[in-house]
Amino acid sequence: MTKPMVVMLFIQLHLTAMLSIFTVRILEVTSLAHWEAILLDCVLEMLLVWVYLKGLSRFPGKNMIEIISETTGTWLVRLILLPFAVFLFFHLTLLNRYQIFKINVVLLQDTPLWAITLIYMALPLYAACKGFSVILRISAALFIFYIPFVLFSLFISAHNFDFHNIFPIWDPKMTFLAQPTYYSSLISFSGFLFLGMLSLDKPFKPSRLMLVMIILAFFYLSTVYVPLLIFSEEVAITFQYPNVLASDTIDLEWVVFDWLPTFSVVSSTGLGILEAATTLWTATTLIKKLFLPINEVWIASGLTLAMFLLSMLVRNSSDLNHFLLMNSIPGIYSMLVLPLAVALSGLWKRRASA
Amino acid sequence: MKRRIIPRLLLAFCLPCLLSGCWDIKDINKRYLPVVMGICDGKTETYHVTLQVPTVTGTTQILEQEAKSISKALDLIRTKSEKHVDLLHLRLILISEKMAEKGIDDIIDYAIRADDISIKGMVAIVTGDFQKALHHQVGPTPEVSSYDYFSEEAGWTPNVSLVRLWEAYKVSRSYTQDTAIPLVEAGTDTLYEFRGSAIMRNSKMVGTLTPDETLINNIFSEKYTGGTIETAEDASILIKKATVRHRIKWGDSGPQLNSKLHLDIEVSENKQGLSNQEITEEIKTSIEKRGANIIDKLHTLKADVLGIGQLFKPKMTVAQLKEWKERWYPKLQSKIEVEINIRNNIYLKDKLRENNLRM
Repeated sequence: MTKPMVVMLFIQLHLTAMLSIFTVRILEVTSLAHWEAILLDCVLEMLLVWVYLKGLSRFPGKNMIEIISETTGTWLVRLILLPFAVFLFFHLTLLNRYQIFKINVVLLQDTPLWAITLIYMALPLYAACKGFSVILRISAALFIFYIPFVLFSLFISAHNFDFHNIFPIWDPKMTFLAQPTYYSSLISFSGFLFLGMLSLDKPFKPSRLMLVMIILAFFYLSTVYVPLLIFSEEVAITFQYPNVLASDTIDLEWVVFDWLPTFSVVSSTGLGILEAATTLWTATTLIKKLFLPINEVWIASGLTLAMFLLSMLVRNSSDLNHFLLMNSIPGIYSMLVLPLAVALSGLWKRRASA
Repeated sequence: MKRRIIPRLLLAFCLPCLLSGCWDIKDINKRYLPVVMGICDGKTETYHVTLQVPTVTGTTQILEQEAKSISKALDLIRTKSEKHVDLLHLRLILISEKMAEKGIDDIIDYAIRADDISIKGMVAIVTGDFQKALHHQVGPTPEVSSYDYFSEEAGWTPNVSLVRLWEAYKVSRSYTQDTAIPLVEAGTDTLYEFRGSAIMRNSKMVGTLTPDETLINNIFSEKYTGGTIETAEDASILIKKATVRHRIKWGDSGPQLNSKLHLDIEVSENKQGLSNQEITEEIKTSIEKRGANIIDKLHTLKADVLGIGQLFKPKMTVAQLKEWKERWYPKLQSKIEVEINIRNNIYLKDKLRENNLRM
């Protein structure tokens, strides 16, 4: 487990999130000055990551569960982390379902959903059972193979940009803050939570990750602005998958590029499987350490089965949307409480030792 | 250890079965791959859908059906056809003029929504006999596909306007843009004859631009170069490069636009031996006049084909944006100024006649 590999995974988890529901959410919450909403999200995540890493750095070689339980005791830590476990479980189910709906619409129209779901479950299960170091190695391989495709499918349509569509660029009232949907877009920034599960001997320096996150902020901006610059705001709002359609606006005569949405969907699917593996591993470790001390293979298999059955119950996209909104409540809770709890434990430890 | 390998291998072999996507498999020789779809008013039903399928022998097979909706018509075509009809390679949608006058919103919406039609396909409107245009076949060059006419990599020229499905969808919902869709008719020696463009206002055809006007329109939207312009005095020029600079102002009376069009041209024909100076003057006045005419025409039709609203986006609030086509565009005051730079006279020199006199 090396740090560059962790950074690669960190980047890819964010890319997955931004390529799935993020663009639609941001387009929904405001009709002007989208960058305000996006950058506010980014700054908030930077702040949380900084607090999280500062807290973790006081406890080398320990993970977040051990850190919090050291100060609070077993029962309280179970209570604090229960919403996190709930969030992970539903996050996995719903984002998988989102990807599967997308594959069904764009690529495999006749394949039954359960068959796609089965693959989507089998690969993450295998990776999660093998442990975190395997996930990291997969992520390093995917990083090299997939990132060019992601960049390609994201920016291929640059030829059709009309920069007038950036306007109106300024929204002094920040009306999006009043929209509950806006807060659910924060879920796309939850990719940093796994950092607490790593038990690193030499913890991350926050400053280095900050640089990575500035680059990521640029990508968050591009995922929203690519469809926006091509179609303009009033049109992009009507699309279910704006990024997929944006990549289809380019006409290349070369036959490989005849159906460009394939690149977009395949790359986001590959990343989606990686994210599912990480989330499943995090959930399995959490449940094993806190609630059920049995072999992780059983826990992971049980979770996967439950997920499979549950995702079959989400039958249409409006239900999915509703559930995603609901799940943002435990999501935002975990994103706020985890870093704070770790940081407070750090402060507590320093006071106790002083 | 050995005992555990067998179930694992079995499990691993199960995955390729899922991965193959057997549900979607259909061999290519079991598919019709139409490249052109024609939509016009049906005799008894709402739509009459025609598909042109290129065949291996070089001829074109025609599939037709009438129904209340486009997807139902396609469904009926699929029912009666021997092979699976796959729209993945559909590149051109032809719409009859009558249909376009009623509005093409429903057709464009269908094409964008459909998961098997690529949104980069092109749209054109057929004037004159619609059935003749679709059933038309040109004998000696069987490999000609009717969408080559519009392909930038094949037979397209800057006289023709070019609108893709996603652009048509964009302008049908946009607050600040309209578009001009190419207008074609069944040709005599080629597949299509270009008849100008249809001015669309909120996806209804409200008027036409002649081929000459379309060229000027294309120059003003800075898209296309390479077209030939004739002047009254027996000279022709080729446009090599066109750049437009817009100055926008939002005064008390509403939006004001000053456009400066800079053209780099070549003189390709000069029957009376005019000097470059004279040609410059002539082209300048002629384009300024034609430009002003088009702008007047678009103004009276309230159709912002040039996308001037886009230019004013920085100056408008969201409320003003929504009112652009109705309220502000008719109030727009615009001025055009043309600057001409004659790059060269190709292989000949300037002032041929004077040179001759000296000899």
